[in-house]
Amino acid sequence: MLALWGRVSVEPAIVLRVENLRTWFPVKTGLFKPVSYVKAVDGVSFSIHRGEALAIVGESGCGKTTLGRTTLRVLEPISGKIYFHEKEITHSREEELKEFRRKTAMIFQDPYSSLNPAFNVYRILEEPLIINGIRKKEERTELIYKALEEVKLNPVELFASKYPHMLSGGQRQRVAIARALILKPEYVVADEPVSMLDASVRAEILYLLNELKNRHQIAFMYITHDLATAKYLCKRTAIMYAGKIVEVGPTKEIISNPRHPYTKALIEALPDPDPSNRFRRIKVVPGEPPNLLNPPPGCRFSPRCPYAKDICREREPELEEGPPGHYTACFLKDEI
Amino acid sequence: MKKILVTEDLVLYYRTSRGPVRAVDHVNLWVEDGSSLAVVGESGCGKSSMAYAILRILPRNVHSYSGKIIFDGVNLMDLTDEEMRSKIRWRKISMVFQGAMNTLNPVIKVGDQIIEPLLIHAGYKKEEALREAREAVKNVGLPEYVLDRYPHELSGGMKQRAVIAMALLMKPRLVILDEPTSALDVLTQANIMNLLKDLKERERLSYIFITHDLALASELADYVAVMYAGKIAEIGSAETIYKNPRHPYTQKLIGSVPTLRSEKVLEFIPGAPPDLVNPPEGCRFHLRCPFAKDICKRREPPLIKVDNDHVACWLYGGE
Repeated sequence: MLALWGRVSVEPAIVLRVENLRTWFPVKTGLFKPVSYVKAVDGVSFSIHRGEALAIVGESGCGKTTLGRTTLRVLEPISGKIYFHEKEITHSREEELKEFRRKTAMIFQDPYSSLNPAFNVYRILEEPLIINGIRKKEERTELIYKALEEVKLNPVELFASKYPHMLSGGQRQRVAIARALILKPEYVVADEPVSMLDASVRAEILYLLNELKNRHQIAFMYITHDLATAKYLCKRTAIMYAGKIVEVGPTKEIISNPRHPYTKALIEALPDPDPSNRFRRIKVVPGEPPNLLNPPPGCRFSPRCPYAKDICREREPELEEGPPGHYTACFLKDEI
Repeated sequence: MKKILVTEDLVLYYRTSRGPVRAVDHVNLWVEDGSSLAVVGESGCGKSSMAYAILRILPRNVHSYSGKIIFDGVNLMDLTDEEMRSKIRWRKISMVFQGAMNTLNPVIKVGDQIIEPLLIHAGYKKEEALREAREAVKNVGLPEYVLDRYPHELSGGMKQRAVIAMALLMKPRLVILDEPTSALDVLTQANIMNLLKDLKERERLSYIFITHDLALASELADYVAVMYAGKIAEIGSAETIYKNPRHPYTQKLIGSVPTLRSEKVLEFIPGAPPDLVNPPEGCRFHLRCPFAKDICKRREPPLIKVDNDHVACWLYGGE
């Protein structure tokens, strides 16, 4: 009993939970034809705890950005459930979402297009404060300077007066981070926040995100195509393929002991900087990801999978736990 | 080994209202015959401009363009524009441009685009050219029918293969690859890297592989040139650059690459690369360099030989 108590007390609260989420986009193919759907997110479940970072890793078009946006209710799912602090918000109307909007934020990929070029940094950071009704100018200024301090843009008065075009890529992304965090959100989605940055500043931004996540105990979704950066920020990783999570578990374990054939292929294809790479041939799987208008029956990876059997083409595999906390959606996970 | 290409003091400045942009500033590099040189550096360091300078595909706002480009014993700078076009470009040196797959004309069949160099540079009849093109697409692992398709009917990886087929159509000796996989997925990228390795062996090609991705560069590079702010910081064998880099910039850059299979603390370089209109005096890296000495602030370090490699840094002598 005591041991159980201990366990319950160290487990931080769940901030965001989604169940069997489906976000489909309707497409009209012809005047009299029925509407068909691009099944960008198709039956995804997970939860993120306070102070935890979950990486969503996948290739372009796998639905990872759609998933991130749906959890923020920028998009509305066609089925499934979204809970924020155990309160369901799946289909809440905009006026009911006010508090949710204040407690969530997003960081975008491209710091060159996500900041208004006509606003200076002060004005960019002031925007969310004005929208959320912080009326006193002095209070806003104080919050803005504090936010700039947190993202290490010193001296803050100087940076507050600058316009985006006067900043480097790394500095712009810091402004975008400051804007996302200025209202002390509890859940933040970062969509490829470092993929447009140069190598020499990328690590700096990763460290900053990690530090801020820990200090403010933010529940964090890190969307990326790069498993190597996920390793530095997220203890847990979900691998997405064609609208579904195919594997989820501790990041280090997924890297060292991948169980899904897609994850295996992905890791094989990702080079580390090593001069002996030039003598190797990468083992590659053939083909391309499926069209999400009309995904293949059964496991979506089966047409490309080197191990696929009949069952893989007939039935969809569910996520099942193997090693503790490590879930894989593959019928053959124990054989390959 | 024989050097197929050597540049000496290659300069390409662009004219702007703020003054000349020193994109390529006295660059010395070389490519050994049958090997690949990866040119790595961050965005804006001049690596693509360097490729344009070698092929003499220049925009209108050139401020200065000078130096020597010795290809197979001939200084390309001595050739007329017409000679460059008819004798060198595409025939001897070809290029796969960044995002080239997205520059295919959407209303022209892929086959008709691939054969364009043969029609223009070699005066082929369309029938002969298409016969060659069938071979060329097979060579890059594509089925023949892609010649009759329009670009939107092909996937990204197939388009990229088609563009590579086009670059190899006239059997060049040297191919410049400018971020050849930057718009592709990880698995497709791995496919293309395998193809480039196969082609290099089969056709005895030499490559200049331009990329910002050091991990990817190691898939192809026999030699690596590290560029910083329009200059070569270090050039050497892949083993030296990845295992024992000498220039502080290279050391930090290698240290900043996240790795999948090993544990390390990521490094980063405070600050940003300098403005190429007004670069700092002395070594261009000295403002961000943890080892900067007095001389680094005053004088530009020459590219000097250390063992079998070359580095431009005062820490290794050169006085």
